[in-house]
Amino acid sequence: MSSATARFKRGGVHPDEGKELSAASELVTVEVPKRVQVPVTQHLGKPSKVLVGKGEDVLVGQLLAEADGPISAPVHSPVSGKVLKVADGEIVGAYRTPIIDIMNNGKFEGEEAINGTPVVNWGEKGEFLDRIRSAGVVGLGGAAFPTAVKLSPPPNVTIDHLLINGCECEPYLTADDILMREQADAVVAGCAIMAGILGVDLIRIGVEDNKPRAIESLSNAISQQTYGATFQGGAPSFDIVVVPLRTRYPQGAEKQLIEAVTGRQVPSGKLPFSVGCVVQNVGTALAVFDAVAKGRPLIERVVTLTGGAIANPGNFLARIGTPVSALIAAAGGTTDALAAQVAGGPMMGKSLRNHAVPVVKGMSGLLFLTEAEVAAGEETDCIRCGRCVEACPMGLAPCDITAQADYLKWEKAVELGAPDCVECGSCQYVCPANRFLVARIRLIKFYSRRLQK
Amino acid sequence: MAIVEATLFLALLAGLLSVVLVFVSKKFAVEENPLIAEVNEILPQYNCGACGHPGCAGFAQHVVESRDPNAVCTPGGADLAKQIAAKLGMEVAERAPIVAHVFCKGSDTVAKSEGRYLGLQDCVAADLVTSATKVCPAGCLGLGSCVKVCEFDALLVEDGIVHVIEENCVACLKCVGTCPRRLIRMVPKGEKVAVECTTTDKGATVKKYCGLGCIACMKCVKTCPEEAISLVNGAITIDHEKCVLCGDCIPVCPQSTILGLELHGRVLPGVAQAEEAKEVEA
Repeated sequence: MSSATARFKRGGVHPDEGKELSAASELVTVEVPKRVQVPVTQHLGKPSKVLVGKGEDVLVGQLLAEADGPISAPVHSPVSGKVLKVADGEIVGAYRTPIIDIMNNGKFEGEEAINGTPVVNWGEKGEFLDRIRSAGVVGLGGAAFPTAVKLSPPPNVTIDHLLINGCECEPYLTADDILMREQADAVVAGCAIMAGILGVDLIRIGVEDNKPRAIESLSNAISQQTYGATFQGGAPSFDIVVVPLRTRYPQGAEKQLIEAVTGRQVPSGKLPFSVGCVVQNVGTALAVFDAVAKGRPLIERVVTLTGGAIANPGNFLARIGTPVSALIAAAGGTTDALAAQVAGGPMMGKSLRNHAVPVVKGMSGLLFLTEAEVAAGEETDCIRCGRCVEACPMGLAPCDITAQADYLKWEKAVELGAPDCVECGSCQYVCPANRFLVARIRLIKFYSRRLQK
Repeated sequence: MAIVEATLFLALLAGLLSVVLVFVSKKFAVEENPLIAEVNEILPQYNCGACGHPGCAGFAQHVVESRDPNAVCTPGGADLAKQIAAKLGMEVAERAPIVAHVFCKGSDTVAKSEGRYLGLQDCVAADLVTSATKVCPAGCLGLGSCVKVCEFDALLVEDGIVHVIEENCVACLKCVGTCPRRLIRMVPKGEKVAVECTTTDKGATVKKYCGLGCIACMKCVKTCPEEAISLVNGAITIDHEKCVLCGDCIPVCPQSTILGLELHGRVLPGVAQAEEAKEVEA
């Protein structure tokens, strides 16, 4: 392991990484099933407007739902076939949301139009942002915020850094790792495209030092200039550096990554714009490259399936709308030891209620955990040890804040800084009393918003 | 000698100060309507806040000062309203007593659950991370957020759903705003018929996860002689103003979603326990 020293300064934890489970195996392409369920809303922001109806024939990459308003993203068809119905169904994070149910005819008509030889023509730089927007690219780190919005800073701020988040600080997940290892050229080219849009030349790719192979392949792509193979029409020059970071959770959180790489601190309640930074995930960089160089909309992503209760952990390339059950089958099924299942990482993921839910743009991983990995203990009273205060990367006192929640003192909790919480779960991870600190802070945020209305 | 001096001095001081105090109390006296204290005396003193005022004293002040005929103390009911009206010399409209009712009977016995929730035992917290274990998107989560806010022991969780002990409910409405799925609503006290389901899912979907769920077959709508039952925003709803308690809808419901509350012989387990406990005490 290299000896990187850069990291965010305050708090954080270092849970058992568990990445070796899924990191070794090759990327597996999941067979596209006969039917796919494409949710209309897979991003943060306003729900998209459905454009297709029952019985309509669709092609691969065809627009199914268009963005409604500036903070929204379109959704495209991952297969060719017939729309069976548009009905409410369940996804991770919503009990009921409109889902477009498509019967896959297996021909993948229209695939060649969006999977040609990649060419980045810098003469058409002005069109890059529109291509990203219309390809439905959203942040693939998990939050699924529309990428085009993040690449359009307000006119009164100066951006001097594009930071690329290759930390993948969540334990167990290796989806970004495999992209950086296997598609470093495209990832770096995607970074260059985004820097071009923003008009900055400083690109810093932050990667934690537990992924030496990712650091190596990115560095090679940069030093040997292989990432520029697809560039035409005079690309501007970029100062791209891979910054190895000392492994520490939550390094991949926007504000922590900015501090680790640039030493700047984003003030409370402000966006990264305020310190001249834009942060994008490596998976997003790849999607940006596909959108600009191939005109390929975001219709597939890499999902890590891992944990002690799945037969063959690994990374799986799946079309959006593929049911989770198909991914589980591709990974050899779950074992009897299954005790809990999570969509996302172990620190911030949400519970996976059933296997019928589809893969969405923001789904980075699926965890199938054994009882030992869950290690759920009984919640007891706070013993005022202060370990949560030490662990909080935002400099909050989770014990004090959550104590207010138990007495329904929402306003007091807000005064103590509850809105600054990024819900990373570090406090809860270290809590010897097994207190549900994050759930209480979510309650505070929910009720204080309700009070404001 | 010193003790006589001191006593005299203090007596003189006390005399002077008493004059000042009498003067001040007369000069700066705050006139309070004696009715406020009188009304406050007959209020239940639950300080539940259902009226929207800071406690019973706040309500007394409001009702005396505004003489608002719509100001109502729900726990006090019609009797109290009449007493207040008599004291203030005004008319009040007749109000039927109301009671909280949970519009879900999807207990763990009849409704399907999946997954496992290990987090904070609170309905709102579970719902914020969409981690309810009940498959039904409208069903009672059974984690008891409403039970926690009820100060009158009128709610209890049994077999995965919450029940109302009507004898204890004073209609303070605290539980109504707490339920993340808006399953608790007020119904007239002694109401005998209710559609015990609020799901808007299609019938075929409902049948997969709940034995008592409404499938919106519309049979009750067609049967009701008073046209009191209708489909509102995808959920079958009874208009209690129109309902004449004939009970015709109960036998036609194929899912037994419409329960005649009395006819169904529903005795809450909690009530039985409470009565047993009382007997033991006696």
